[in-house]
Amino acid sequence: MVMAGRQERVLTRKQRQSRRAYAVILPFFLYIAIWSLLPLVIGLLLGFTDFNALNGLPKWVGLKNFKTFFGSRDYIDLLIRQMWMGGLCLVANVVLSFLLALALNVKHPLRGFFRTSVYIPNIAAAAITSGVFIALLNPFNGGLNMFFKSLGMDPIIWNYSQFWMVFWIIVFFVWRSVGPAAIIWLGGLQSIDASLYEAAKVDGASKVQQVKYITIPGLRFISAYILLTGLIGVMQMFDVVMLISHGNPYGKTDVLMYRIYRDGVISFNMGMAGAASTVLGLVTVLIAFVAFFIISKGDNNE
Amino acid sequence: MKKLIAMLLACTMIFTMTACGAQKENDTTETNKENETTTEATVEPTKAAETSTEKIHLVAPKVGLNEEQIQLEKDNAAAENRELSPSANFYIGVTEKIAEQYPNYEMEYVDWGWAETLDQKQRSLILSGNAPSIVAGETFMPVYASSGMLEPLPQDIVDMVNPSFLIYDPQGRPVSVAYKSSVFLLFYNKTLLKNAGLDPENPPKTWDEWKTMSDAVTASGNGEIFGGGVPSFPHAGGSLRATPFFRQMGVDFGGGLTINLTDPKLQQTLQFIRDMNANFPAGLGNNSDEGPLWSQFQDKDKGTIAFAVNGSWQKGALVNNGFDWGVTALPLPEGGVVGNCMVGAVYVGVPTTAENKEDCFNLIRVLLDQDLQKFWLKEGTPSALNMYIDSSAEYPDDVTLQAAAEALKGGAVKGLTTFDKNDAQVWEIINTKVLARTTMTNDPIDQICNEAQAEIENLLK
Amino acid sequence: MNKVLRKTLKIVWVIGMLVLVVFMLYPFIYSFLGALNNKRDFGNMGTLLPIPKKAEFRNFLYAFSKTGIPPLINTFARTTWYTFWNVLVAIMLGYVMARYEFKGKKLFLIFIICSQVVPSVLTMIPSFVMMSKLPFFGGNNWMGMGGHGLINNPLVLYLPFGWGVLLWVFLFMQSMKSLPKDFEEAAEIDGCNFRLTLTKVVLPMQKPILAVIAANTALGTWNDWFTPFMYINRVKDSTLPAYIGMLATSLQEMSGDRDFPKLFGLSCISIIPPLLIFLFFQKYIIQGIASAGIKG
Repeated sequence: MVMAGRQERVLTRKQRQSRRAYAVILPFFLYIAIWSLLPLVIGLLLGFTDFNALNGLPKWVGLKNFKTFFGSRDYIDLLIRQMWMGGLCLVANVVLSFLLALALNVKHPLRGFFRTSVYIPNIAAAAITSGVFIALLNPFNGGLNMFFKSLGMDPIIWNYSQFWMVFWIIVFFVWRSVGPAAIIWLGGLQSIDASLYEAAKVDGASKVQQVKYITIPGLRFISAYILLTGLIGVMQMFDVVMLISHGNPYGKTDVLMYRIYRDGVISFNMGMAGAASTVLGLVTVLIAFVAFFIISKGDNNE
Repeated sequence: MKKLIAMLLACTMIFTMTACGAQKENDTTETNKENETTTEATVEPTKAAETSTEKIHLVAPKVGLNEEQIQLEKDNAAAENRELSPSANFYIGVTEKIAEQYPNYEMEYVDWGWAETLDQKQRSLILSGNAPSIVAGETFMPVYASSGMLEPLPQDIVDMVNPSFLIYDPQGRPVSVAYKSSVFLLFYNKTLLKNAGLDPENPPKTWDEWKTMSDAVTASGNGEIFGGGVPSFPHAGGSLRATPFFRQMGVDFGGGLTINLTDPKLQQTLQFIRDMNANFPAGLGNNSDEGPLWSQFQDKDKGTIAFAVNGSWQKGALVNNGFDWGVTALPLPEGGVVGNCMVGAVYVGVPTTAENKEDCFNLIRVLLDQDLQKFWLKEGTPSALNMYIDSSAEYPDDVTLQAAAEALKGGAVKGLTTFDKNDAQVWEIINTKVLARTTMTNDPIDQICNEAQAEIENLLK
Repeated sequence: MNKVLRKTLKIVWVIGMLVLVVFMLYPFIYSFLGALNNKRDFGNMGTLLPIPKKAEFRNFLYAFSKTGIPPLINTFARTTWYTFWNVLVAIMLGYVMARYEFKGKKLFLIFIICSQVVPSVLTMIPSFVMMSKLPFFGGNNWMGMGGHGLINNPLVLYLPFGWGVLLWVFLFMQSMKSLPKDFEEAAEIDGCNFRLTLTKVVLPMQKPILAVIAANTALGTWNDWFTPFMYINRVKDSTLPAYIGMLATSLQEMSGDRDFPKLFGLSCISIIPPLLIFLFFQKYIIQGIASAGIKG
């Protein structure tokens, strides 16, 4: 009797807690879902319609937009360019931020100052700092070419060449995002137990061996995080392209995400933008899954 | 606990409701007010506007300047130690005239940029039923006209202006007017021609002559002085300057739902543009920033380019610099026809969905005021008014303006051609993947054209 | 010998880092110097360090002119608004998720984690469509038809609340988990109700994580130039970074006004608030990024 009574009381307490929890959580979750889950659903449908968003109703056109996407080389080229340009940005950022983290992982009174300085480019929005690059890169009277001329070198016509525009896009991208990535790496480096290195030293392991057997395994989780979030980020990168090269020279640095933005927000061609978003989203998720699979497989082998 | 949640929910609710309510209230009062004035205005067109005590709110880009912009113009002029420019004087004059003639107008002079930015803004406002009183623009105004977004102009406005300055809708009614516009002319620096051993008083008449002269200047310039050619900026500035040359060959990019980049005459013209580009310092003729090119041509001390294709307003800068220059009509190709393109035009029109249309047209009437229009003549830009195009009495000594007026007189000069579908994207391809690519690379021209042709056909399908 | 080597290494390191710092800060120095010029001088200059002949401060004051003030105020209002709500939501949801046992908790947790990996490309254009069709706003009827919804409506800068906040919920939850329950239980025994427990006992101990959340959202919202850029066309309803974005994107277009000094002047002003936030809350912001990396 006593036992049963007690159980009942526990149950009601649990129920009460659950009711309370839902009362707090549900309104917030519903509100958040309206603004983020709903667009996800709309987005999946949008690709099958012809719609200009501001007047008239969406018209169901079936697979027409997807046929346009895969039918001509234009969109496919943009998708491929999004992948390799994004890939280059990501690789450059990961490698350089790791080196920077190693450089910052030194005890010195100036370390705090250096850490702050490398982070500062990130606290200004991309739009705010891109003007400097445009002013410097003007092929005729930009700061950089004038400097080259004063050294007696030939000026480089940056905007003629895909190589240089991609290069500057990467420089701008890395300049903005190397700080945060380096700080994440640094957090990882510092969380590795220092006694492991001591022990290795006692065992007579060389610096290279220490890095190979202690540092790299210790950073596996961090590197997975940086790679995965970075991957998702660069697959949607276009503000940098819009601000630095505008897709020039002659569309050679244009990426799919920029096209989606122009289709949707400038030309109001929502159907095509929706279809392209769906494809790009799926490709991103697919790549992220493959990357995740490879990383976790590597984990098991160790 | 419950209290807190209740409070929170209440807060959110109250916020949303007030926000909603405020928005709605605003909307309804605004429409009410505007409806009232519209009815008034239709009953008694201009009088009603003058006598009514009710404020009419009008939003207009490229019409006048707000106090702050006026101050900025004055500050800039003071900082550079010069008088106000004719164009600043014109806009200030329009602002004052509107304030004087229509005291009941509550004007919002907006600065929405120019070209793509302006187009995007106006388009989204019109599509969203929030149309401004006036839409302005250059390259995209024919698109607005052909999609029926603009109200036909009243007859009195149409009668005042030269037909070159009008844009017609598909039914053939004039719907938009440029209150100023120019055509392209060839400016040249006599000193540089003389230094290169050429006759400065005998400007080129044909493409071949022009190319020979330009090549000669470049050759004798030792990498310091250049002949100059046809600019191919990777935006509308490029296609505007290239179009007259295509039209002289009797071709254009197409229009409507067709594109004819495969036309051999068009490719021949592209070849000419590419050849002429060798007479620019690298990167100058196809930079997104047009500024350096013009300053290289017109600066008194630093003038390093002999020929420049630009609208007649270029004269303004040359006169102020006291520089030895000349101007002539664009050279013609062999067997070519006279062709040109409207440039530097500010077209204005009233959206069909605008409120208080008659008041909007009043703004256009002020823009076309004959006294204010004289400011454009001073700048070297032809005025839209018949009285200034047909007679050069106001500018007897101005050869530039006379040459431009001569080209415009026939009333047949058109702006850039337009496409019925995806106009902006098609032009983007022409500007970057055809014109800029022609001058930036050495890719075979038929390859460039075929690739772009395929891509554009896809967009026009 | 070894000592000498170590010392030279250290000096090399300092010099190398200083060079790097100069590179990282160079664009800011350039914009500051550029803003001191007038448009014409700057156009003729073309140097790596645009030191003015005569310094002018007109371009900085432009942010406080009649055009500049409304976006500036909007940016402050928007930053405050979202910081407040993010912190509040993180506390409420994070606390409940950490301390309460209820059915479906796992589901919520999965939702939180999944939401963080959804690529934003999937929602950018659909959100734009949704904003334009939102019922009852901007002249829309209950079907979402007839008007322009939240496009060009300043409310679009305040109403939407996406799942970005769930990251902070997750972090607050983790931080709660590392706090022993004893304090709250003791407080409850002492007769404290939920609100008192939360404000008097829990929150004072969670100050660091709250600072992390507040500083990061404030920084993120201030720098979110793209949302206003995409939805709002009128400068007076927009935010300062978005206004700068309009100027910056038009640099590549035909739009004539390439007033770099004005652009730089506005940029310099709009960097100051995030810079102050960063300098004062540096520890928390860095901790936020690092912990997002380690725990996420």
